[in-house]
Amino acid sequence: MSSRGLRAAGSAPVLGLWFALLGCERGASPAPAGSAGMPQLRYAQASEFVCEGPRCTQRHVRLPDDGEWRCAEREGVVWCAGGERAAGVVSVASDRGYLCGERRIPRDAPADRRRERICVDPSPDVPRGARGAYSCRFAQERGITRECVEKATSVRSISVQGPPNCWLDADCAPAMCDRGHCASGAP
Amino acid sequence: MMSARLAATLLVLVACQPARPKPIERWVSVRANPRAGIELSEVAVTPKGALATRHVEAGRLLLGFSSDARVTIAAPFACPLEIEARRGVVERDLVPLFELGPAFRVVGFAHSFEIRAEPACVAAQGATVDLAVAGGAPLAEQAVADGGRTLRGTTTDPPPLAPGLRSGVVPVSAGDRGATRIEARTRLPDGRTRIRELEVSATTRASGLTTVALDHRVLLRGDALRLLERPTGSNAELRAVASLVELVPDVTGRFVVGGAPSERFVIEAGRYDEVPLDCGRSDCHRVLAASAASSPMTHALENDFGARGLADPSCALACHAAGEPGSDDGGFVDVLADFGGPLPPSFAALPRALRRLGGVGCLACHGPSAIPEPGSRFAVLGTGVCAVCHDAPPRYGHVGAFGSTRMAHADRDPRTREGPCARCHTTFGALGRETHRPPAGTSLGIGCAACHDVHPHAADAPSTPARPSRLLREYPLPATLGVVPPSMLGASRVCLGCHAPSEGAAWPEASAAAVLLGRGGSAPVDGAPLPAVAPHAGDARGCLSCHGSGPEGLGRGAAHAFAVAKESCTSCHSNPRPRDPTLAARAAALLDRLGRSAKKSSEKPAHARPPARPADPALARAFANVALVIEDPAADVHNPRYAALLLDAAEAVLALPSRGTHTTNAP
Repeated sequence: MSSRGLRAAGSAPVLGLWFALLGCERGASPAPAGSAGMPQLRYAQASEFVCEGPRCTQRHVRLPDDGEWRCAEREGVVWCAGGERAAGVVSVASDRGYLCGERRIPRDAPADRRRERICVDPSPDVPRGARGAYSCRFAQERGITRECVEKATSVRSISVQGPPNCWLDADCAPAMCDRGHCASGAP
Repeated sequence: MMSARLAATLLVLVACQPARPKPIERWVSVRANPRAGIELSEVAVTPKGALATRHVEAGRLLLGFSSDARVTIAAPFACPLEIEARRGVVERDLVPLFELGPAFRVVGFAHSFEIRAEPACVAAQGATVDLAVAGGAPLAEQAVADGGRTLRGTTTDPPPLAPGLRSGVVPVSAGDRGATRIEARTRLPDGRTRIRELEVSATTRASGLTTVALDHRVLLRGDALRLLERPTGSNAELRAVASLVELVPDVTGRFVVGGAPSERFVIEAGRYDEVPLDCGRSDCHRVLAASAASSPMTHALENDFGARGLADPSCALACHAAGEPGSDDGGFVDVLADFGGPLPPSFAALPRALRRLGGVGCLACHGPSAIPEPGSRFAVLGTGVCAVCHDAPPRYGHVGAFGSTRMAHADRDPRTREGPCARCHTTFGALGRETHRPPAGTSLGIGCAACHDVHPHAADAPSTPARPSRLLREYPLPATLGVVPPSMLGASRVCLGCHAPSEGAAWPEASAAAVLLGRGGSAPVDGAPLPAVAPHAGDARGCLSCHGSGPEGLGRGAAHAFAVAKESCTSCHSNPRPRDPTLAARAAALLDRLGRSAKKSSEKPAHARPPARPADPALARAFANVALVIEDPAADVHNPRYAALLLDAAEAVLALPSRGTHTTNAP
């Protein structure tokens, strides 16, 4: 589902009928900004999917933050590694729907990997909100975009609790890395 | 009975409570492009009774309905909308009565264009629209047809651009891009009129780097240039534009342009939104990347947003964000179109893709593509990089004002680009960057980067909105000045390195700072320092206390002409003395008496043809004193008493019987 646009902020309990019966109904009052019932303005964190036939591309994707990331996607879950601060960019913290943790560091890891973050999005955007109906991947050769193809795909949630911590199996050896989480059995 | 009374009482109490607002569950969100000439405050809804509430927020009008309704939403100069208001939120855009095409167009120099106003809906019937040129760069040709609905024009040839550049990518400043303002005046049947503005520019701004953005018009200078290579999928060709050629990269990748035997330019084209910003990774530019985080350049757009959103988006986005409005370059305005909506009220609410482009970051100066080849790297030190934004007169006059100084042309003589001269006559010399030496035949003068460092200097005070950092470099202070007073350690500090003698110089390369501070002179007989007399040393802004004026009519940055206004004297001196040419004449006469008269030359200043220093120590000191006065053409203003002291001391030693004659060891 795209995060674009307006969403109703939920419906308040309907009490008007009782008052109407008593003749005290005074009509709807202008709702001040932010009052109950006013739809909250939310700004898109990702651009819309642009589809041509069964193929859809999302040019500007939702990522954990404004930094540098590399991401992968499998069985309806996105996991990203990196998080280095983007140079010359104002960094703003905000909730992007990712759950983040520190990457496990193999002892022999190069210095630039020692403070990597791992972030997992259990509910990535999909074209038309049709989860399971599209197979998506990240294309990272020219910026980071997502490419989805209409194709039935299994969606499997992550069973491991806790913050994500791996990018590769090697991070969890001898266990495996399941989409950002070391599978049970990891040391 | 009691329970019935209680119930009745409760009923009355409840009934007489103020009615709670009935929750509104049907909403229509209406947007209008800020440049469309549609005021959301003028929106009317019919039938009127259907509307329960309205609220304008961040470029959207929220209309709330208490029940399902079919309504018409109309505004002057806009096509009306027919909407079914049902439970939930409906988003719609109001469009103007006439479609004009893009608000910004970049069409090329000496190129024709056409703007047509097309009715966008039936409601446009009865309304009229008149297109007209409203200002900015004049067009070579223009004609209006179809009763004002069509404007055809042809842009002019380019103005003289970067005359010092012998070959390569020609920098184009904001003021040189040939931007013409077009007005579309819409008149409704009831007589009301509204004006929408469009902009047609002849070319894209260019820094002069070979790292360019996709869809930017790149002007090249060189002999017999031709396109040697282009990326797969490109159909780009070179187009002759007066004495230049134009290349418009149509795909990302590498374009190679060749010409005369030694000329070969590799143009790398990219999109701003595709460039990784991992400049600080693996210690490549870790310090610079860290310092950029607090740079006012980085925060330029964030500061524009402030607490209430962007007041003037078109102006802010042209210079405080990456890219060229009107180009498919992956810049801020281009990407904003991908998101479709209006700008949010805060910088923090921008999506990641726009925040990375919002501000003057690495790509603004270094371009959105591969690092230039070694032979082209000189351009990043050129004034053209800053002129992309800071040369937009009359509002922004930094580069225009600086262009009026001799510093801007300091390397016109090719000999000044060599040896020790380059330190103060070129930017690469000042920065000690031999790798950024321009090719032979190219003269860039002293550029902005000689004094300013956009990667904030560690010693510079933190930037705040109230006191923005000037991003000044902090060169070592010349040893010849000794302890420098605080007044010279502010913005004027950058002047000192080149306007003071270097240590051990046989003849001072420059001496204004030394004379002003009363430093450098010595008693010829014993070498004791002459007493420091320095009435101007305490002026609060150092050199800039007086050298802070510029051409009339320029807004910001006019002070970069570093001219002296008369008022700068009268603020302290009620009756300023006129300039005194006798000091310079006296100094020249004393040099003659020392047998060291500088060779007469109209081509070279004295420090470029220094006479030999006398062998006799006392005469040598007298010679040095005289040289300080000669090398400061404004010694009579900077510090006339000290200048006179220097000459008096020299004269005194010459008056001694034993010094009546002198040895001659001139070369």
